[in-house]
Amino acid sequence: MLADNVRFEGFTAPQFRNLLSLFAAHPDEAGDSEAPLLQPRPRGTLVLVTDAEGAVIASLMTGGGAAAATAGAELQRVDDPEQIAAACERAGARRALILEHGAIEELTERAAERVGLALDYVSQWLTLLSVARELEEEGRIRFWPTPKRLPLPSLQMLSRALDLLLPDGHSLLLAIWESETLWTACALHRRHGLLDRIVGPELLLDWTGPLGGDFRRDQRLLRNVVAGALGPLHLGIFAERAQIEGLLRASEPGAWTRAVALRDVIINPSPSYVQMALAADAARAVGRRARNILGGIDLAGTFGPAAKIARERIANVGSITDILGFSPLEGLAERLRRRGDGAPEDQ
Amino acid sequence: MGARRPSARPSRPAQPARVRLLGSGFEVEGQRHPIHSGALHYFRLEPQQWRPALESLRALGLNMVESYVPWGVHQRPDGDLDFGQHDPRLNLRGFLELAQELGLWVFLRPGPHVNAELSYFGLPRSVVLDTRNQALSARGRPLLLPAVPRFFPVPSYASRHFRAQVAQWYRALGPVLAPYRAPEGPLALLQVDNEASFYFRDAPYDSDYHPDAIADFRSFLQQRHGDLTRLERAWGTQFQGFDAIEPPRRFDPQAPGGLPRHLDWARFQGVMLRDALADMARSLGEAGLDGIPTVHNLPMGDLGLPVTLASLEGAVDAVGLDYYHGRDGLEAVRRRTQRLAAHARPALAPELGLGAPPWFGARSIQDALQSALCALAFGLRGFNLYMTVDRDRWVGAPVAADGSLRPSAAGVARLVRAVRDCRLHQLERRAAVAISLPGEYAALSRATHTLGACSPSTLELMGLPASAGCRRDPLGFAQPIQHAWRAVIDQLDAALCDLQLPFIYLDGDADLERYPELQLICAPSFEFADATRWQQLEAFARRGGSVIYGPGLPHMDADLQPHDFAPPGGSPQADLDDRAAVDEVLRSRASELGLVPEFPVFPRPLIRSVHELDGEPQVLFIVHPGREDCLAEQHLPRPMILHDIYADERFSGQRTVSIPMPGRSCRLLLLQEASEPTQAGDPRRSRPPAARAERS
Repeated sequence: MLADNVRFEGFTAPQFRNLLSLFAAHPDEAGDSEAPLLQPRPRGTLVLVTDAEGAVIASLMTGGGAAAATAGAELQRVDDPEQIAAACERAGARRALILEHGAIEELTERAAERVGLALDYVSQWLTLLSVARELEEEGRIRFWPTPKRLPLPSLQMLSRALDLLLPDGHSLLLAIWESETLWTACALHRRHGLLDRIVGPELLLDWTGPLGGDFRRDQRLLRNVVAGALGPLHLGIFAERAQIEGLLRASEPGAWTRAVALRDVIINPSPSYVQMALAADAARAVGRRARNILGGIDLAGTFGPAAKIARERIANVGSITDILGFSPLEGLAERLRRRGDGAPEDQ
Repeated sequence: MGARRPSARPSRPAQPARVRLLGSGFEVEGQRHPIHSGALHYFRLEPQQWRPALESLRALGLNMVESYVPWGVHQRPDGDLDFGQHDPRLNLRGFLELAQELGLWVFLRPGPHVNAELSYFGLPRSVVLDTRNQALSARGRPLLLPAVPRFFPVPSYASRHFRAQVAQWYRALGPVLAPYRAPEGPLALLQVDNEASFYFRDAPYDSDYHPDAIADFRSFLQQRHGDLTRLERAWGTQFQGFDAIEPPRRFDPQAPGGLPRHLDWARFQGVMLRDALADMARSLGEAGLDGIPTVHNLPMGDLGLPVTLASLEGAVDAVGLDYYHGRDGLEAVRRRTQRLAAHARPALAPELGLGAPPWFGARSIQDALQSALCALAFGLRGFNLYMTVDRDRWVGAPVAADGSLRPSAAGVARLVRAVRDCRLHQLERRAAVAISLPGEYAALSRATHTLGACSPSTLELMGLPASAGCRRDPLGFAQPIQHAWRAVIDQLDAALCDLQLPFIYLDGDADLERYPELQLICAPSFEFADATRWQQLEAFARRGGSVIYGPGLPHMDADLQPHDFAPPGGSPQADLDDRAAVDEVLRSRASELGLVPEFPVFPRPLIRSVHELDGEPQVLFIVHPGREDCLAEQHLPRPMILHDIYADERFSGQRTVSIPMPGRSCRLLLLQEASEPTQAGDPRRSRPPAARAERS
C-alpha cells in the first residue's frame, strides 16, 4: 500500500500540525506543544510485567512525570481486576497493559518468522498486529479495562477499501480553510496499487498560486491543479475548519447530509459510495425524526429490508464499512468525542 | 576553579591533521571556526536547487553545510556507484565545489547507517538482505526494524562480512572526497556511521547473537578476565574453554554464571559498538580520508544505551548527541548536555533538530529553538541544524527546497546570530562538581530490563528513566540497585540544582585525571562497584578532591567477588537515598570547599548557567523548564545590564533584576557592566562587546 519511494512533501510544521489535529483526540497526540496548557492531558498507561504465575515483577507508567517510574509499585499480583483498577486510579492511568515477562520477545520472534520482507509496509504491520492478537488470545498480553475489539482487517480487505477510496492512478484531496486561508490540506496519489505521493498545502499552493480565500471558489482551482499534477481526482472534500471539525465528531444523523446540501462541505468529485453514505445518513435523520413524530414507530426498521434489497440491486456500489466490517468514520468520531479523562461524552 | 573539558586525546594513531578539532570548533591552517552547520540533502534536490538552498542556508548565519552520503542511493542495482554519471542529483563533486564557491565548510556523513527516513536506512537492499550481514536475535532470527516504508533486518555491527562491505564502500568514496579535504577543499568533518544503537534494536537480549558477535564476546571475556580460572571464579561455573561459553539469551540469574554472566553480556554490548565504530573510523582513514576529524552521534535515549560517551572517545575524534526534544523536555536537554559537555571536545550536536519526520508528529519551531537554547546553556558548542533545507519525508525545515525562506527561518537566523555575536563557542561553562554515572549499575539495569524490544533507550526517549522497565526484586542486595542508583542520581541532581552549583555528569569510565579543576564528585555506591572506578575516586581524593559516596560502601567488585574498598579520602558514606541527607551533605561539603553559587536565580525550577571568558562572566542563560509563566528574580554581583540578544530585550538592576520567563523557555543574556546605577527597565544603551582574543 505504501510505495518504497513514496514522497511525503509540501508541509510546513503548522500545516502538518493542523492536519493531525483534525484526527487527534487531544492536541498532544498531534505533537502540538503550542496547545493551551489548561487542556486536560491524556493519562498514560500503567504497564505491569508479570512472571508466569501472575506475580508483578516490574511496573511503570507511560506518559512521563515524576511518579511514572514507580507507578504500580504496590501491586503484587494481577489476578484481581479491582486491584488493577485501584492501582490505575492511584497512578492516574486510564488503562493498564499487563504483559507476561517474555511476551514482547515472543512477539518479536514470531513476527521475525512471519513478516515477509517482500511484503509492503501495511502487510508487515498487519502481520505484527496479528501476532500481538495471538498473544492476547494466549493470555500473555492483557488490557484493563478490556477494550472493544475491532476486527483486524486482512490485507485484501484493506486493499479493497483503498480501491474504493482511491482507485489506482487517481488522487484524493482534502482541503480545509480558516479565515480565508488554506489552513491545511493533503493530496494522495496512488500508482501501481501503492500510495506514492502525499502532498501538503505548501506544494499545492506552489502549483495554484495565490488563492482567493473563498473555499467554494478555490476548490475548483485546487481540483484542476491536483488532477493535472498528480492524476484524476477521485474524491475531493473541501470545507471550513469549524465545519469539518464538527462533522468529524458528529453523532447526529443527517449532519453530513445537511452540510453538503448547504454547501458547507463540498464533496467533488463524489464517488458512488459517498453518495450512498450520504443517503444513508439522510435516511437515518428522517428515521429519527419520523420516530419522534409517529410516536415510536421504527421507520428505519420498517423500511430497512426494502432499502437493503434496493442496495443489493446496485451491485457495483459497496461501502467501506461493509468491506472492513466496521466503520472507520464512526470509530474516529467516537474517539474524537471523548473527553480528556477518557469518558465518552453524553450523546 | 571549575572543571574544563578534557584536553588530552586518548590513544589513536597520530596523523598529520588537515583539520584540528578544538573545544570551540575546528582549525584549518591556523584559522579557527565555530561549527554552525545546517543540513541539506543534495541527493533529494534537483541540482538547480542547490545554489539557492545553500545561499539561504548561509543567509541564516551558518558557516557549514552537512549532508549524508547514502550508500544505498549512490549504489545502482548492478552494484556500480553513481556519483552523477547517471543521476545529476548524485553529483557529489559538483555539490562540494558549489559549497566551496559559496564559502561554506562541509560536514559529510557517509554511514553506512544514515537513516534519513530512507528505505533500509540508506543501506543498499542487497547488503541488508545478505544473511551474512544480519544481526540475529536470541533465537537466531533476523532482527526486524519496523521502519517506514518497509520493515527490514538490521545489520550486525559485529559481522566481519558487513564491515568488509562497509570498508569497500568507503574505499569507493575515498577518491571522490579526498581532493576536497580541507585546506584545499571545504570538507572539514566526517561522521562515522549514525546513532549507534543497534539500529534501535538495543534491548539487552535483542542484539546481537551473530556468530561473529558471539566470538567477540568470548574474546572480550578473555581480555576482561585474563584467564579461564578467573572467569570461572567470577561466574561460579566451570567451562571447557572460552569457546564453550555461550552468551545469556534471557535474564536468568539462577542459570550457570549467575548475575556476573549477565553483567558481562551487558558490558560487552557497549564494547561491540565501540569496536565497530573504531573499525569504521580506521577504514575511512585508510580510504584516503585521513586528516579529517571523525565524529559520531548518539541518539536520544543515550543514557539507556550500552555504550558510554567516555568509551567512544577512543573510537572517534569527537562524540556528539542528537536533540529532538519538545519544550517539555528541557530538563532532559539539560542533563544530556551536562554529560556531553563533560566528555566531548567540541560538545557537538550533529543533529540539533529543526522539525522531525512526519511519523513523529508535528514538532514546532519553538520546540526546536527552546531546546537549542537550553542545550547551548549547558555547554553545547557546535551544532548542525537538521534539517535546515526541506526535503522529502520531513516537516519543519526553515528553508524550502527551492531556497525560499519560511516564516520559521527568522527565529533560526536570530538564534544563530545571537550565538555568533556573543561568541558563545569561545566561552566556558565551569563546573567544580560532577555526578558520576557508574557503568556497573547501568549494566545491572540493562541486564534486568523486562520489556524486550521496548528497550532502555526507548524508555529514556519516552521521558522515563532507562531503568523504569527493570525487575523489582533486589536480587540478593539490600535493595534493587537496578532502580536505586537512578533514584540517587535524581536526588543529587535535584539537590545540586537547588543549591545552584554548576555540575556535570561524568561516565563512570571517564579518566578523572583529565578533570584537574573538579573539586567534588558525587558517586552513587552500593554493595558492589567497579574496582577501577573506585581506584579513580581514591586517586582523586588523594589529589585533594572531595568524594561523596553512598548509600553504601561496596564490599564486592563488579563481578560480585569480595573486594576491599576504602572510603575515598577517608570520608564516611552518605545516605544518598534520603533527600534531606543529600541536601545536608552537599551543603556542608560545598561550604567546606568554598563553592558559592554565582548569579543565583529564584524561584525553582528556574536554573541558570554562566559562561565565562578567562574567568570573567560573559553570558548568562536562564532556563525555565516549568509549564507556567513566572518572574525570575536574578541576583547580580554588581550593577549590570542583561541583554537578551535572542529576544532583543534588556533588563538592568543593581543587585537583583526581575525577568519574565514564559513557561518552557530559555533566555540568552549578554552580561554588561552598568556604568552607573540603573533602574530596572532603563533603556540606556549598552556598550558593544569588546573584542576578544580567539581561544580554543
